[in-house]
Amino acid sequence: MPIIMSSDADSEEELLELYASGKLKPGLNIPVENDKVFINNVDGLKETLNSFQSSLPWSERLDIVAETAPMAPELSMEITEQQQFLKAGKIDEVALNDFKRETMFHRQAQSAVMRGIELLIKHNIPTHRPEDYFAEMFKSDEHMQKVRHSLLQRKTALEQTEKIRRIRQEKKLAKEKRVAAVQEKHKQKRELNENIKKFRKGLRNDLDFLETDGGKKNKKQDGGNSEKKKNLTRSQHKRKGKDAKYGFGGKKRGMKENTKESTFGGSGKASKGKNKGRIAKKKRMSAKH
Amino acid sequence: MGKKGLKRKQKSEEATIEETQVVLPRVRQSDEPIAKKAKWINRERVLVFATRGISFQHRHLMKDIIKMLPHAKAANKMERKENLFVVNEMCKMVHCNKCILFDGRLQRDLYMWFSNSPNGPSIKFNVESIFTSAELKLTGNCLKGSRPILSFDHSFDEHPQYSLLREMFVQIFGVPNHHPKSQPFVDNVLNFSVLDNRIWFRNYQILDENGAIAEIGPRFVLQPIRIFKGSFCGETLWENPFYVTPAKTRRLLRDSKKDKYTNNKIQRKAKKTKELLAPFRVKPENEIFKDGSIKEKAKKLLIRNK
Repeated sequence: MPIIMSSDADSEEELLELYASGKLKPGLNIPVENDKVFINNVDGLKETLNSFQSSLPWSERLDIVAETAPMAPELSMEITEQQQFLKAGKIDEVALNDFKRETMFHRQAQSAVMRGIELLIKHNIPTHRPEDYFAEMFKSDEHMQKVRHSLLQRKTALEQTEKIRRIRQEKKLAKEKRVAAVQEKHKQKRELNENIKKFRKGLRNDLDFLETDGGKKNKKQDGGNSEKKKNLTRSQHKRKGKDAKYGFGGKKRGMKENTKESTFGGSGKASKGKNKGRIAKKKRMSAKH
Repeated sequence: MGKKGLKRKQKSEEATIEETQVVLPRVRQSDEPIAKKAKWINRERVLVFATRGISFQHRHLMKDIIKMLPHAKAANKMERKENLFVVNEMCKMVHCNKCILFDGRLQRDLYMWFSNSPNGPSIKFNVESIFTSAELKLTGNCLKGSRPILSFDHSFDEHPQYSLLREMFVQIFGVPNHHPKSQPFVDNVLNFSVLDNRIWFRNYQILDENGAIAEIGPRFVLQPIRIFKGSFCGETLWENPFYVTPAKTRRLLRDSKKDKYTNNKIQRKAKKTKELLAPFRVKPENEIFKDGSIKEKAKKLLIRNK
């Protein structure tokens, strides 16, 4: 219970009196401070407003009290929602949501512009800057360059992420295709084997399945090869060229050992040697005859 | 009748002729300058300056505002020790009748004073969520010193304190017509709206006459604290009941985080002891063991089921 005490309320006599009258009860008593009264001198406000209000015409002041402008119908739902929030006292709902808040301000400014331009035209104040009128701007060219740069950067970043996403998707698809192809291959092989088994057991008399499957296979392989060639990456092309040049696969063993050709002094000389051999044989034969 | 009417007509015609004829002086000095018709009527001048203790961001905001207002006059930083009443004299010395004072504390909190010098009123604001035009990469741009349209929310008409603020904003942010440093075109809007007991400031460029706009910047939020009758003095006319000092908000934030760990610990411990002391309470089906004899309860249940 709040008890209003004088400044020297702590004096024992007063406390005793209060206790006797029943206002003060045994136990811990905490003095309750009255809520702070906030000043709101409406008359004073109006008076001061009148004292310093300027009596200049509108063309000097350019002030407008604007309502929020109407928007496209698809967004009107959202707007009514905003207004409901504001009416219901859920101010945080609008104040803390950046998008909602900024659209509200934007629309207010828009309606102000629409009304303001009418009035400006009425007062013969130019609103449109001619193309050949150059003057210092609020934001420097340097800053506008930065703005443009940042916009461009954001755009390129978006494009890049889009591209990466696309490539990832393509890779995923390609893998699925590959797996499907392998499974198809296995299936064909299985079928072929089964058919062969059947033929062996005498359950089947014709060997048509061999031709058809073989034909299909060859065709498929041909198509695959040409496609593969086209789809080779740069590194794969390089590998191919290197393989052609230095060789790939096969026996590594004995590569450094001498051969018949190498002993007769390289590829060109070897052929000569061979010829010589042949000639020598002819000579030998002729000598016999 | 006709004659009478004619006479009256003649008389009135004579009178109008007399009125329109301006009697020029017989002799006119050639040296005498021709009286100019003054176009620049609104002679507002705004002193914009700061106290020591503002941060770089506050300074940039101040620069933005000076740039926006061709009728603004910058001044050196003021020593915080001085009484703010001195500002009135400073205004008088540079012939300014309005003043914006940026009052920074510890390079962290910013207060703004808007004052009508020397007679008042003056208003103290707390400035929150500041974004300078350099920080914001917004696409809009306007002429430096062009006259803005000042757009106000409805609340500026409804509440007496806000209508006073509106008049103050109009006089400070409204660029005088035909000011020598201003531009003749109106190509931006300064938007003031009241939301959450604060005044939100936005600056937009007018792209075309159908209401297409692009934001320029800066952005800031003014929370009014007090309105004084005089300029940096006088009685308080209005006090914001919702105002909480930035130091207090910081403290509350800290306090809310302070006991998080210990609270968590205590709660976990309490839960564990509760489980240990009365394990039957944890499972709802074990209610049968709660109190009273189990046999009787079982009998009751059986009867009910039958």
